[in-house]
Amino acid sequence: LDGCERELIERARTGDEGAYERLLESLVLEAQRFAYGMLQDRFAAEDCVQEAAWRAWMRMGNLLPDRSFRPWFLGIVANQCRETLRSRWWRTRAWLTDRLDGGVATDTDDWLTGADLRRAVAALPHEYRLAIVLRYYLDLSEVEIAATLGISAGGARTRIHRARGQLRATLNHHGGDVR
Amino acid sequence: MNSDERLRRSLRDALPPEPGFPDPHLLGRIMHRLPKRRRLQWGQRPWMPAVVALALVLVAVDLLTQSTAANGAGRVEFLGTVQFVSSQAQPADEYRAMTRNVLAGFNGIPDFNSQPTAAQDVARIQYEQAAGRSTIDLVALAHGDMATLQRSGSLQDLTPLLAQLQRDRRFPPDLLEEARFGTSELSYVPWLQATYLLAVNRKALPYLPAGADVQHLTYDQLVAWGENMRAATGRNLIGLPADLQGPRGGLIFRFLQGYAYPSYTGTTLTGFRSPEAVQMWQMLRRLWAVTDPRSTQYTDMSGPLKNGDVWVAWDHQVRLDKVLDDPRFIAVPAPGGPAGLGYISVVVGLAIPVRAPNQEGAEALADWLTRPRQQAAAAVSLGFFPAVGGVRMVGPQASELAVSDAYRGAPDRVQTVLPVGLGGGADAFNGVYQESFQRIVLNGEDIATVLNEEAPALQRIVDEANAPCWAPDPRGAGPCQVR
Repeated sequence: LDGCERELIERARTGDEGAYERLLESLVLEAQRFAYGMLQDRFAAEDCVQEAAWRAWMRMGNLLPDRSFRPWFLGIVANQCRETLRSRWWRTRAWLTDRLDGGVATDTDDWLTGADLRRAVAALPHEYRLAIVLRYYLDLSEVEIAATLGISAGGARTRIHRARGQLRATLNHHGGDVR
Repeated sequence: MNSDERLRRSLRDALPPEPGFPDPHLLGRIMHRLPKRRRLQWGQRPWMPAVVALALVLVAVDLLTQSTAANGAGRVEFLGTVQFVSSQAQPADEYRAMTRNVLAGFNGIPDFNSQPTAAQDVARIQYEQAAGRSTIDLVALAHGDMATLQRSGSLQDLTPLLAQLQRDRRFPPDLLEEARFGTSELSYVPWLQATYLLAVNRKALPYLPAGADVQHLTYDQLVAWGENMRAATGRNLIGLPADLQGPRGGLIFRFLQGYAYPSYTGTTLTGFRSPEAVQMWQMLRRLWAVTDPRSTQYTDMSGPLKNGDVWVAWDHQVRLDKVLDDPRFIAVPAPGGPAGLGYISVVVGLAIPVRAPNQEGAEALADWLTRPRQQAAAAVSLGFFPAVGGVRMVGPQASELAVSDAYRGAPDRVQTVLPVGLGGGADAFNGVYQESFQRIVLNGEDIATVLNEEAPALQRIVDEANAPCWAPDPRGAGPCQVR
């Protein structure tokens, strides 16, 4: 946490929109990719980030001193994604999508580059899906993942390991594996 | 390539970036919608010491004045901070308009907090009431949400306040009746109302079927109208907000609950799988045959109407405001059916929770918000229309108000309210109607089979919420029953 970020956070906490915009501008693309990895729908991802940005603004006072904005904000995006995934309309949509896509074969011979992998990631429990997306889609380090999820680095490592294991099991079931 | 790198690449290939995504303009939209005011922790209010000092001075002056003046006579009393929460005025521009145009001028500090959904407010009030306290002074919620609070005994009887307000303003008797929930106590004071209607491009009028009156259509005539337009133009020019993506999708579920169902069955819930409902769904299939198929992508009909993709569309009045501001369009009531003219009356009321900390401030703010001038300001700011009689409106709200009056004045009206008392089950409830539409109209599944399969899901939601029937279904004891 450098002096500049600390100052921006302080100003944002007192209601300075310009400071908040500065904090967000370096994160908004990454946050969209993160939400897209979780939800696999660009419009839902945009909605999710907008909602998360709104919530973060309303809760700037909860950001602990000396805590960096990035993992805190990504954590809010993660929670927002979870709320979206839990909603009834999302489950209905997923059901419809499954019915529409269910018979469509992967458009490539490589099972790891198509719908199978997307479905396998989408089928992971929320915490494991978070770990896979943060580690392999956003390229975050274990330490950064730990800060985002509010767990220890060791906990992050374990979670990634288990998530890979579950992903492997799901893909094996469909004829592929993660080596 | 190691396995980590392989998975990394595979995941990126499986979720490739789409053109225009991530959207670099999203930040601009976020900042545009950001509320201009946010609640700060006490310790984070740099101006708080100054405010506290000023308050102490004011208290001292007040005490001094009271000791020397004639018991406060002639003074305009400062009403302090009034904690006011609502699910209305959620978008940033509405929030700003609410604070600047509606609440400004009140002789106190209305601490207005708008939540994304009413469920949060309802849960908070119920939680506080269970704990024997309240931090909220005044709450503005739709009738259905008020029902949940009324059933849990969380709201005060506002009959004495109403008597005071009625000295110089008039509330429609049917709205007051609804606010009593069949008891002698008034649970809320009506604040704003809204409805749904048809917006019609004048270009469509020449194609009305013979003998049809655009102000008194039937669903069969609407279908015939669509057929005439298609025969003349080769296009399906009727539009419905039939994007089925849940609460963020179109309002087709409201069309079913409040318009199609009541018009054919005289009910909104109990007749869900009745023979009359089957007849209604058959009509919907015919209507869909002349409806713009892109309707499954429409969440808001203002765009398709404005750019001419559709000429006749049903939607919520708030979404049609900009369309009806354009002289090319007119507002007309939705069609009626064999059972009458089904329509939804959306009422937002003002209620005071039991044990509100600033009772006097809450009553004064309810008084302030139902004054004709504030009613007009709120109607314009939030896209509703007034609940107090005699408030004159101009522009789109005037034509919407005329449609609302037409609904209320129709001899065969079948008035429906938004689902009542479902609490957190409301989204799931709406989802059943969306799913039924998907299966029957879009997928072409057998009507009776779908209704028989979906009815238990509907019943389960109502049972879990222990929600009695709401208008037009007759209210009774216990959860409402799908026949």
